[in-house]
Formats: sequence, C-alpha cells, structure tokens
Amino acid sequence: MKDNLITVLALSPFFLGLYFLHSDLQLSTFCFSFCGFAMFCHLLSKQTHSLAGQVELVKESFKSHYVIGLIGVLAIGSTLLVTRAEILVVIFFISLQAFYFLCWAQIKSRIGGSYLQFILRVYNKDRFLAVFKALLILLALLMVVLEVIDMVMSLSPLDIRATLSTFTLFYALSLYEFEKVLKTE
Amino acid sequence: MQSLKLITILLFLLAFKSHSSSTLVKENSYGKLISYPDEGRLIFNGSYGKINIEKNAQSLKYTFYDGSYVYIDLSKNLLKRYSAKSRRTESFTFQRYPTTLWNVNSRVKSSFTQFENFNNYPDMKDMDPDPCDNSSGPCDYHPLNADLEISLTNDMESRFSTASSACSKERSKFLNRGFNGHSSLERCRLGSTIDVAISGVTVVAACVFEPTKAGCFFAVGNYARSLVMYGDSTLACYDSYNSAHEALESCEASNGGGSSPGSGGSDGNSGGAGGTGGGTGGGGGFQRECYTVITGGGVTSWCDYKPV
Repeated sequence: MKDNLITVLALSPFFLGLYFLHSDLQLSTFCFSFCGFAMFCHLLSKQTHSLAGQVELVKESFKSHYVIGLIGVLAIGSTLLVTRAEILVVIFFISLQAFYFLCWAQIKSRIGGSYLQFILRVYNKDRFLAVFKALLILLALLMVVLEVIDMVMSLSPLDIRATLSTFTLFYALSLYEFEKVLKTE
Repeated sequence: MQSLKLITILLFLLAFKSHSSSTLVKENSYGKLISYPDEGRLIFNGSYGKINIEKNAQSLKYTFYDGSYVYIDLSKNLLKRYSAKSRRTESFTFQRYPTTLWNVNSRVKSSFTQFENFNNYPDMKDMDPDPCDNSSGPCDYHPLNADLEISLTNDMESRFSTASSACSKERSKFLNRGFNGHSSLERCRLGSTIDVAISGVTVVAACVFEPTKAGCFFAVGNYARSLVMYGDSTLACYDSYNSAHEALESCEASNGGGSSPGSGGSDGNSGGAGGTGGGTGGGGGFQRECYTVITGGGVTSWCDYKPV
C-alpha cells in the first residue's frame, strides 16, 4: 500500500507535466524536472521502509554531494524563471543529470566500481536490451536534431515538448537498472 | 519442357503483336513519341518518365508517371487536373481558367518541360510521311494522328515557373515551404512521427521487457502525448498549407489573374528556324494557333489551343 502511494507520488509530477505541456511550457518543464527529484525519492524508498529513514537518506545524500544537490534544486527552481525554450531544455537536462548522479551515488556506495563498469555488467547480461536501448536513444537524438532543424526552417521557437517527456521517460527507465541492484541485495 | 517452349513462343508472338501495333511518331534528343492507334493513345518516353497521351476528337488527357493528369474536354468546355502530390482533383471551365498553380512534384514539371521541348524541337526527324509535306502554307494535319492538337504546355510552364511574376514570393512559399516551412506533409510531421515511434517502442520496453509499475505508466502517458502531438502537428501542417494557398490565391486575384500569360495573345508565332506563321481561330475561351515549320526534313504543321 505504502509502495503504491510512493509510486503515485513519483508519477504525479510526470502527468502534471503532460497536462500543462500544451498550455504552460514553463510549468510543464518544472513538473518534468521535479519528476527527477520524485524518482530519486522513489529509489530511496527501496532502501528503507520508514518515512523518517527516507528523509534521513535524502539529507545524507545532499550533505555528501552538496554541490550536485544544489545544482539540481536550483535548476528545478530556475525553470519557473526562464521563458526561452532553448534555455529551459538545457536547465531540464541539468536537473535530470544532477539527480541521476545522486541516484548513482547511492548505488555506488553499495556495489562500488565505476559507472561504466556497472553499465557494461548490466548490458553484458542482456545484449538485446542494450541494442534496443541504444537504438531508442539514437532515435531520440535524431528527434532533437529534427526539432532544431524545424526551428530554423519554420522560423518558430524550439518545440521541446516531445523532448521533455521522452527524456524524463528514459531517465525513469534507466533508474530501473538501479532498482534491480537494490532488489537483488 | 514442351509447354515451356509453347509459352516462350506465345510470349514472342504477344511481344511481336504489341510491338507491331505501335508506331514511332517522332524521336529526338528529348525523347520519343510512340503511337498506339489500336488503343487510341500515344506515349511520350523521356528521361523524366513517361507521359501517356489519350486523344479523342474532342478530348485530350496527359497522364504522368505518378498518376497526375490533365484532362481537357472541348465538348464540355471542361478542364480537369489531378495532382498525385496534393491528392487534389480540380475542375475548371474554359471561361474560369485556373489562376492557381498546379501543385505537382518537380519530376512531373521536368517531364512536362521536356515534352514541350520535344514538341518545339525544330530539327526533329519525322518518321511518318506527312501529308503536309506536299502542300504549301498552313496545314491542319498533325503527325499526332488527330485533327487537332491541344497544347497547354506554354501555359503550364508559366504556372510551374516561380520567377519574374508578381506573386513569386507567395508562389515560392506555397510550392517550396507550404507545409510549415517544409515542402511536403511527411517532412513537416517527421519529428512527430519519430516521436510516436519512440514512445510506442518504449511502451513495449517498459511494460513487457522490463515491467515496472512506474515505468509502464510513464510510457503509456508518453505514448498518449505523442499521439496527440502527431494529430496536432498534422493539423498545423495542413493549416499552414491552406494559409499559403490562400495567400497565393488572394495575391493572384489582386494582380488580375496572376500568372496567366498574355491573355488575348498574338497570333502566328513562328516556331523554329525558317518558320512561318499560320492562321488563327477558335472560341469558347480558347484560342487556336496554327504553325508551319519548314525544316531540313520537310514541312511540319500543327495547331495549338491556348486559354485566353
């Protein structure tokens, strides 16, 4: 029951982001960036079952990696201040990267080794999935390139709506690799 | 084995039959024109593709390689054109001749230009004995084996053209950047199409290969979003196309019929070296112009019908 509640809490910023996507891009970017933080909390909930324990883990994580934590929080906040789509998407990527790094720091303290070693170990087990994900990421990058070309050709602002939700989804799916590590322990 | 031989012989006979029923009318460096009298049609074979020409006493139809066609019916005073690119069929009467460009792809334009050059080529070799060779002055016979030749090529050429016209900016936008800055609908919504593909595959990845509650919900939500955006972008592309079309139409209307060249027109244009002008006539919104060209191979005469 508690697990489901946490999952719903992690999902809600994503769906709020989708809801505001066509009306308020700023608010939508804020929701998608906040989803990075929500998914980070969701990952921490796999480590401890008590709410107090989770809050303690977040505090510890921010204390030990205060620069990255600060960048992440500032990036989320600044999405509400910036209006240009090009800058919004950069801030969005920064916030996702910051929270992805914090998530990795949690896993690293458990299993050790570098990130590259971890990824190689995971994808050596399942080559098909590795190729599948690599293709998805290539397609997503192609989409971003097309968005930039479209912006130049149609002389309109950059359309980042597809990028926001697609890359939030990729972020959520890559955190699943971390969750698998926590489950096996 | 016997049956194989029989089939081969039959195929040879069929090939010979189909070959024997066609006649090479004209051939020059632009292509060749073959007549199929049994089927009542001609085929122009150029490097940009074939043009199928169906001629009757009162009608003419040019069909291009992609299915686009122009159909002219003199008995009903009707002009109909279909573009495979825009998938639109438009009908006009000779009194209300189209002021808008025919939106066809560049290969059709090139094919048409090539056919025009083929027709205008002065030094063409006449493969059929021409009755006009023995006569002097204007002659109503045309080697295309019918009593009249309706040519819209000059007019079409000007409609394809984007240069030196009052609405060249609007025309260029409509033809080259009509779909929200892009030349085709598919290119216009390519980003959304890729987005739908990514989100669809991610649903499979998140809900089947790596089933997680959160991941699957994310993926389904994202897929719904991509479908909505695909529909939106398609509508936006059509909207932009219609706006560009309207802008061109209003510009042409304010410029008095736009690109229709030389209404009224002068008669008796000479066509080629040593050419002499012929008589004029006609009605119903079309002007008939007959030409005679004296070339090294003899005298060639033909008549054109042009919209006025």
